[in-house]
Amino acid sequence: MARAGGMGITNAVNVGIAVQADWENREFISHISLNVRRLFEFLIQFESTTKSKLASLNGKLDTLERRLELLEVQVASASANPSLFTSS
Amino acid sequence: MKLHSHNGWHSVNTFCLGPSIPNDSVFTLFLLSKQDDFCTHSCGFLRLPANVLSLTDVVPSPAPFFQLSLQYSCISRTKEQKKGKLTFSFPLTMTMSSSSSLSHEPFTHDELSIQQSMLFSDSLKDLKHLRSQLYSAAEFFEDSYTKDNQKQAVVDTLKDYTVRALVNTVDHLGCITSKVTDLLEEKADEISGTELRVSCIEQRLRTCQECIDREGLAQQSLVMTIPKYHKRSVNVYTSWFIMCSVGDSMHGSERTASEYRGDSLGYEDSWNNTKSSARTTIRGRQPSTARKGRSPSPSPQGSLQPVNFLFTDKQKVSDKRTASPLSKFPLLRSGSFSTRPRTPNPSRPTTSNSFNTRPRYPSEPRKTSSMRLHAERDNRNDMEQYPSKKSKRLLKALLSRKSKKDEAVYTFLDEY
Repeated sequence: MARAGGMGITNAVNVGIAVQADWENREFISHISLNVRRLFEFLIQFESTTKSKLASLNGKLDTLERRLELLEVQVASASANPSLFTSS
Repeated sequence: MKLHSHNGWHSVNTFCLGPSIPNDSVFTLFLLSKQDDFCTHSCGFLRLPANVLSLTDVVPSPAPFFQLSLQYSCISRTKEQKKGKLTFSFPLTMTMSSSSSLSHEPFTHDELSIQQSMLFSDSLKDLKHLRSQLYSAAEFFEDSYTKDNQKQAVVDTLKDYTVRALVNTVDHLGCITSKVTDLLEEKADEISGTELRVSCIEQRLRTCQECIDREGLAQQSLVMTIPKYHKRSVNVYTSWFIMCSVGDSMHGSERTASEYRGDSLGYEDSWNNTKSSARTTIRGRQPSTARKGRSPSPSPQGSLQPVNFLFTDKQKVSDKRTASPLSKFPLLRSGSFSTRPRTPNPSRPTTSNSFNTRPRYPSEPRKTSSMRLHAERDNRNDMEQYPSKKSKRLLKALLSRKSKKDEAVYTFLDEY
């Protein structure tokens, strides 16, 4: 009976230790998954901000391109009429 | 390439090392400060040997690793001075392969940008390889857990590896995102500078356009012909002075020449007044003379009675209205209205003998302008020949004005 009681206690202790180790493992995994999720959220946020920045840059570049084309046309038309620059 | 950690600092990139390192070698070291939040990574740039106090130990470790220990002192982007000791170990193959980048010359901006772009591409490649490494590590730990008896040791190793892998990934991602952000900001600054330059060019172009427009307007205004007065009008002004001088000599009024200076419009107006009054005077002496345009001149022989012309001030004229020549001589309205508007102003006085009481008729400037146009259309020979005779006669009249004052006046008036 005493042996049986000792084995039962030992098993209970082992089960308790295993359960504790399992909980520690779960806690570790939850920490890792939480950090991975944060990393994922950061990546999503970074993607959105980078996309918006790139879109604004693209818009600015388009505007600049149009302005430069307009300037180019104006300069070409002015250089086509050199009499405008000659003083009478 | 490996990630080494020391005193809270991570080196993320390689040294430029050769197989034998001289003491005055130039190294480039990029450091990332370790922060709790990976979003706030700050990059510190350390260039050796400028910021390195002493290169304490360069010991070739047994193959296949190459170990380097150095003390550093650098200033990060957050203006914090960092001092410490770093120990790096590299595979000898990588050290040998990167020995070509060992340089004693100072780095220029282009070289630094090229290096940064190379490091950025290396970081991206590492991130790509990290996935395969993680999969291979997972397979390795799975096999070892099933085969190995010390399962707890395998689990502990797996945990340690997972934590390190996660930290490495965070570091890589932080480095890459910071570089991407810096690159975007740099490009945005470049675009802003380019916008400023384009705006400057546009402003210059606008200024040039305005100058060109102004110049064109000036040229067009110069092209416009200046209106030329007919000789008649010129003679009118000269005769006006002559008549005034005659009047002065006749009546002894004290008039200075400054009184006759003024606008051409004033002279014209005054001359019209005088001319109309003189005409009425002459017509009064020659009744029933139908005048159309230019009336025949009253001959001096026919006008034996002297005519008094009064050129006095406004007040005198208004006071002496009753003594004006028109009161003496009746007005022949049919001739004087030939150039006037058909609907006369009711407020206009019937006698126009004074300078100021007579209103100015709007048809008179039109007549003058029509004369100008006519003069522009006329032949020049006509303009040159016509007044020469008049001037001769006028000069003769002037020469004999003392004896024949009235004759001069009538001779002049005959021309008009």
